[in-house]
Amino acid sequence: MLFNSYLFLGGFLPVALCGFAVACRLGRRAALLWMIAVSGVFYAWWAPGFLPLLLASVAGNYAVAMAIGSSADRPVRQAWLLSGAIAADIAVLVGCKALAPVQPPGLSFFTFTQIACLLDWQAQGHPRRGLLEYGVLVGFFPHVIAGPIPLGREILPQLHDPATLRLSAHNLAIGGGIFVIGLLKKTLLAEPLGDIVARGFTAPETLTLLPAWQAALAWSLQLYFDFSGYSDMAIGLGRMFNLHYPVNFASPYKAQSIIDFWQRWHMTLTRFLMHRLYAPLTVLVLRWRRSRGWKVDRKAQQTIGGFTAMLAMPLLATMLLAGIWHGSGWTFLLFGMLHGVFLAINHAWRLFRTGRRSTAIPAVIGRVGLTYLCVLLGAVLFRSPSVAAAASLLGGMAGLHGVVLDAPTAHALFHAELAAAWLAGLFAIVWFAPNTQQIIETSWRPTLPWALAFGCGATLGLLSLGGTGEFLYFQF
Amino acid sequence: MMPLDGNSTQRTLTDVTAAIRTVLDQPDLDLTLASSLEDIPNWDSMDLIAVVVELECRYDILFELPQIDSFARVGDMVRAVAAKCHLRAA
Repeated sequence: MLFNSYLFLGGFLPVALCGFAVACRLGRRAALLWMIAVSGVFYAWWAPGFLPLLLASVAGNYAVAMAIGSSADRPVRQAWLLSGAIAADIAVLVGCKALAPVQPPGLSFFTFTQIACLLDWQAQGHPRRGLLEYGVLVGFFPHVIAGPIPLGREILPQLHDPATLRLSAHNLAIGGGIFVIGLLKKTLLAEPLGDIVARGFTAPETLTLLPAWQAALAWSLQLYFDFSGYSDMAIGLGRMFNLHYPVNFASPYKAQSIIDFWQRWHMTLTRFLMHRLYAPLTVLVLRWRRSRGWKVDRKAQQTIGGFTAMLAMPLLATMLLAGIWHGSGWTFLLFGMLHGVFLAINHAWRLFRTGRRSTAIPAVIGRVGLTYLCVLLGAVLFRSPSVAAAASLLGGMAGLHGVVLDAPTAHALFHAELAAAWLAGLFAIVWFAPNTQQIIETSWRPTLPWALAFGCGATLGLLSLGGTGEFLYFQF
Repeated sequence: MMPLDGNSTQRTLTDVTAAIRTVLDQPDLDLTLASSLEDIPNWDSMDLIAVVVELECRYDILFELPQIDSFARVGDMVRAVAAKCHLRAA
């Protein structure tokens, strides 16, 4: 059941909200139970066979969290419990990724949420929340399939606040507005690009210079608006139920460096990877160096050996694993490696450069453009069915298949002015328009014009339903 | 978090300041318990890890990662070092 389907919008969501309003009147426990019940229905609609896996994962991790909480004075037992639970979580994740013909929806996301929770609770103390609250944290339907990946400290205190478990007109209006913006991004901006992208990536060897660029640019925009739209919808839905999720997408194509890009794209996944993978690897390397009497300070990081060991290797390892997480093919491995190299170069630049970064407009444009080109290169690998196909498309972009506009290929995609104007319009939105957070925080007011605008937007979004539908990130 | 007496707090603050100065190669850096790590010129997450590892080495203690993530001010580090030392002594 997709967020952008008539079934969800006309059936599931109104029932879920009305039931929530009633359940809130019956008390806190009833409200939490209702949130879990509708999430169970939502998940089972996707894949009823995997619902027991989700329930077992939640119950198992919660049991370990409780055991860790009751072992505060026995650190060795805590460490064994934590290690065992994380090993089991990762074994299920890797096992399903490697062996299962059909992937359990959202497995990565609810696994990461729980691993982060266990680590936080082991280090900072168990917050003594009940199973119902934990169930909502992990499996609430807006985020269970593809994130955002919330932290326990972001969601659990909200569930403890009586104001959260009460239907709020203010939050319904804001959440509805965020959802409508996401729906429009998905239906009006992302989905129309699907045909161009599919045709371009199916036969890259036939594309001359401009069609090849068109296919690649269209893909980068489709992925952008699809994931941005999904994130808005998930965050908007959470807000309708009074939950404030962390921001997950903040104009990543406005980034002025690859480091900046990853701090804006799928932000909660980046946070998880940086805090739970990169940081532990770095700590291990630095402790190992220090135990041998080697320095770990800035000067040591500015030597070739120090930079390689302390920055480049942990980054490469993290991004390689992130690449493999997306899929098992060579294209994903290369995608991860490429971004690892980009990040290492970016860190080296920051470490070794002298002088301040220029704020002159040409310099900013240059940085944004260079960052986008790096991202585009990775995106071509990410979408291509094979490395050879990616190389072929990149070859076409370099003019190796010819530069003639009216190439005698049946697959030529470039329909001159119209397509160029459409892509230019989308890039104008990407680079110059405010993002959803900025619109809601700085412009939106509970006024009639805004209500009309969102009403018209919702109507337009509903009328535009019926494309391919599924969100690109659901496969992960 | 355990309470600290003034002398031991000052000693630990001196050590934490020394570790930060060493890592950043800024010998004139002046810090207090209230100093925000983010406000230190050119500070980044790598510096945080390097400073923590320096302190671990100096005091023969180990920090867990989520605790490292929670360090926002110099005072957080000072209190965490003191608590770890207190636990080890007990």
